[in-house]
Amino acid sequence: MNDLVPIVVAGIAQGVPIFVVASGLTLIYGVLHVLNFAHGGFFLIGALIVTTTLQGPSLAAFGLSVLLAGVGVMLIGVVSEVAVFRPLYKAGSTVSFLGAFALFLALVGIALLIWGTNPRTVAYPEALNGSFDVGGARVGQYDLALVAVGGVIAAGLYLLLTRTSLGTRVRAVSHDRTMALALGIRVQRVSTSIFAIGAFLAGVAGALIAPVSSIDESLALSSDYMLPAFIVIIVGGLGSVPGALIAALALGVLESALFRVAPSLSGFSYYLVVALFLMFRPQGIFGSPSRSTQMAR
Amino acid sequence: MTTIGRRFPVVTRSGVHVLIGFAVVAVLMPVFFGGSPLFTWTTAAVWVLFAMSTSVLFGWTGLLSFGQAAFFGIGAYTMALIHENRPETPGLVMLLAAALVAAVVAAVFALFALRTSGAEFAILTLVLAQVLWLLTYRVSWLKGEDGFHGLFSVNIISNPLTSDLDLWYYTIAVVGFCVWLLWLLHRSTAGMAMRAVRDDPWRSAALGINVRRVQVCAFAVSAALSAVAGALLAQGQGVVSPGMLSFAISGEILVACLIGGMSRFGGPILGAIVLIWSQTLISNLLHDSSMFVGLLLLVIVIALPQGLVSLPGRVRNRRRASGPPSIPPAPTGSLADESVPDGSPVSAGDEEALR
Repeated sequence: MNDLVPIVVAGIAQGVPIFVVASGLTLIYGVLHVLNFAHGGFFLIGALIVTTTLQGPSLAAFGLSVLLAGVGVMLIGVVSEVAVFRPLYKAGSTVSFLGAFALFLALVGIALLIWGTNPRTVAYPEALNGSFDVGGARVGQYDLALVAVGGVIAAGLYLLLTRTSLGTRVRAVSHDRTMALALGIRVQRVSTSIFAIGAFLAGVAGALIAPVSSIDESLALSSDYMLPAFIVIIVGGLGSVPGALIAALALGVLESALFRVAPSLSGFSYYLVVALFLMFRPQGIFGSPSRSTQMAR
Repeated sequence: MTTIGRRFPVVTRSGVHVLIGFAVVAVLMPVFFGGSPLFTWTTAAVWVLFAMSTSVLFGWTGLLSFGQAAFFGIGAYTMALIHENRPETPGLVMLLAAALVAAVVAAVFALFALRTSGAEFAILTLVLAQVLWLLTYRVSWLKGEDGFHGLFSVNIISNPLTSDLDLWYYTIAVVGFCVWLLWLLHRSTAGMAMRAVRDDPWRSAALGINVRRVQVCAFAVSAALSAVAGALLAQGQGVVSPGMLSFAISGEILVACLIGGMSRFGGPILGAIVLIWSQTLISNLLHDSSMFVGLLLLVIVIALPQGLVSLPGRVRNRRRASGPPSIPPAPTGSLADESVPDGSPVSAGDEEALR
């Protein structure tokens, strides 16, 4: 028990930023059918904005810069959707994916130009710097805060998707784009909105990990956050937000447990899990078997 | 190329013009360049091979791989490990071993990863490269960040290369040979099957092509030649480090292919040369070239999705479209000309398809 609590909390805390990034990715995939590779760039820029805007150690200042990072990245996301993805939509998903890749390179390059190559760090907000004593085990306050934030974001997304008219339209478009168009849904506007939300989440996730990680351009494709996010949406099933949530938290806990039990294996758990899923359930937890996965069998 | 092909079908069938082209370049380049520009050309030659091998997968078979660095790195590390344990092994044998190791790894990986397709498949290839990159740090005999040094002293057959000029001749000879092999593959029925699988896997399957086998073979061929390129680069630079497995490499080689365009055989060759030289020139002026590479790629993907090789065709079409409507010259056995009785422009892609 004493060992279990910190493992689970640390695992969930690690899974939360991954889930926040992955939920945006999976939403964008559901609506636009593009795996938005540029998300790594959004994530990196979110973290970098915090290094610039954060003034002082107070919790309010930190919260404000997290929001600023989210909004700033959201603007970049909207501009890139209109400028890059809209013209490419007709050309098919491979070309869009390459467009996303080009955007990724350009965003990372621009970030390097603005913030330089030196790694940056951000201090923990003062109020969250300590640790709690839970049943004799020490649990970091920041980790607990991450768990709470993750809960809020998951609940917010759930309400957004099920209780608002935008959410209904998003689900309609990702279910059947042509039918949604025929019913008079402005699909382009839904695409832009979902891209804005996804980018906002990526910016927030980047901002949230700023105190935990050293921030340089390798963050855009780091094996701690971005690659697991891509793996999580494959394991959870492309387009499924609940799948992304379950996969992110489960994999976070697994990774954190492995780190304690068998440190030499840590870092590999994501890759092992995705390999197992591909062997036995290529469509992921909640995905439906697509034409291509059916063919593969 | 096509005009030569029409007049002398034997030339294109046997790919003699590819060999002659590389021989001419090999002889002429040292006349005009020396010192560090010649070394840049040597690097560019390695990237030409790497880009061509990536194009086998991406351009011919339609499989997008974000982890080509995995095979590039496997080649370099295989060579380094053989050199450490048996330094007297001839370099050409090392190249063969590198190709073989990479081909086996690629085939096994492909059998798993091909259960997905499209973007998911691309992510899996990326994961493969990252796992290998992580392994170089975790496995002690791969030496982590330190890597391997002293690969200059690899024997080619019995003696090591002694000068930059020797390195150039050796590199261009290996690259030319490999590209020639690819040309033969491109013209063969296997190459045709790859393009059929790219264009429509379902129809190819209905026509009796074993889609899975074609894809796995394409993956193995691509990996083998990428490994040769990696080993050549390791030998030229003398150093092997985890950087050769990094995503930057996988990304850049895709950029090279896309800049050149993969609708024609020579596209990736052009792309690799443009990429290496623009990177060299830009980084002489500025600290970092990655933003320009990204922006260049963005412009190409949006404005010129067929790559630089499609530029002449586009210009021609635009001129034809804006000029007075004229009947095209009498066809010389080409289907493309017959299909446009009203003189309307044919896009480069259509022409390619009809040939």
